[in-house]
Amino acid sequence: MIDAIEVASGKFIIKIPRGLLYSQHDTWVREASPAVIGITDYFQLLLGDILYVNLPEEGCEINTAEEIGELESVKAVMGIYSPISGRVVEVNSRIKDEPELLNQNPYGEGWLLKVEPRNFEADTANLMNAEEYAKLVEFKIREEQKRIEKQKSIKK
Amino acid sequence: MLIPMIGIVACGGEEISEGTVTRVATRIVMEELKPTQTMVICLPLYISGKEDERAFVRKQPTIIVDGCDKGCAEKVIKMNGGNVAAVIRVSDVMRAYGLKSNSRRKLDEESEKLARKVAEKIAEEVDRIIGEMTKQTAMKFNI
Amino acid sequence: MDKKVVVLPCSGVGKTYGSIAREAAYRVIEELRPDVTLTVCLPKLIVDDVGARRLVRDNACIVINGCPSKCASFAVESAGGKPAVVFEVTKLLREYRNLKPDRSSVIELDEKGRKLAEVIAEKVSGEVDRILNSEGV
Repeated sequence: MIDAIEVASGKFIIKIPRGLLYSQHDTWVREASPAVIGITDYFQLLLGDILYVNLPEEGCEINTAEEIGELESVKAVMGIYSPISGRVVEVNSRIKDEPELLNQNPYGEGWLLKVEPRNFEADTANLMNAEEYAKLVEFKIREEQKRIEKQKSIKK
Repeated sequence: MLIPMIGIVACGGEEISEGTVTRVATRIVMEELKPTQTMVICLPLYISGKEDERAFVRKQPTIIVDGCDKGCAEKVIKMNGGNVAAVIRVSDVMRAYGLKSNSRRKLDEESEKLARKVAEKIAEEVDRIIGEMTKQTAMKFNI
Repeated sequence: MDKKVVVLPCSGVGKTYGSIAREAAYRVIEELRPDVTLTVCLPKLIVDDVGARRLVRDNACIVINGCPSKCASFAVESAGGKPAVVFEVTKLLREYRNLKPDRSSVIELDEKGRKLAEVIAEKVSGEVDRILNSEGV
């Protein structure tokens, strides 16, 4: 059982584990050697069932807040933005053939990359803890609901 | 209220055309009649134990739309402690309005009429449930 | 009753995958292999419907799951059956990327969704033949 904050959105319960750092682009990083990067539960929920995954290769240099790959579902194609800078030392090879891992376990088996950080402290200074990110998710949900309501009332 | 409040569960039975009617009626409610107050609960997901679906149905009022008198969706939801607020059966609507359901693969004109009638019944129940919830809230806070 | 093959789609109502699975199943049952296949209501397998349970226990089942939740497989297994072949729409979508349907086409599938359902139906029919040939029916 992970220690996580839960945010409700309609019938869905979004999990935000404590102990990770989160970016405004809905990615997370776990401090370790090497650091681990992934997408959040909110990100996977927005996309729905992920069908195709496009990630950088091992050895690539990546930069903070830069697009490092794409995820595609029936709903949309969304860019993945890195929460830190550094060199990719390992790519989760399982998720290419089993992208459902990103939906089912985005904080565990569905991790994306392992990265040797270039400047971890400076990069993570602007990231959020779980409590702060939960507030951002709640805000994003409210904005999304407003957008949907507006869209539906125009359609009506 | 911003977050949809009422769940709709369609039996979606594959064997019979009434099952298809429950699916179409549910989508009409969700997409046209009550888009901001309802949320579709996927019965197969609910059956397989998906916690999001289970938790929603436990907490929020849910309208069941069954195709036939076997009432499978109602039984499944009640078996698992769901909050059933209303049950609509296509077979009852057929009897009440003299409409038939003819094709399970793609609804013909009469079956579409039936689906719309079922959707209207669901929408009526949505209004009734929301009315009751509003009344209860008003009483609770002495408004 | 002669042995038949039960084709069971997930039929979920929230996403297009369920509709594709359902359309593929109907195409097999009503057009491609009408004499040797049939389907059963998925919820009946859960509510202790003796006939439905017996059907999936006594006949070979081909399951068409919509998404990785594999609900149709779960329903068959809950009823004491064992799927002989399992398809999954999302997996096939990875193979047939050009057939990605519009997500709003849940009730009325768009052209790509229909085409994907046809592809799946052909695959299911092939499996029906294989099963029946191997059983010597």
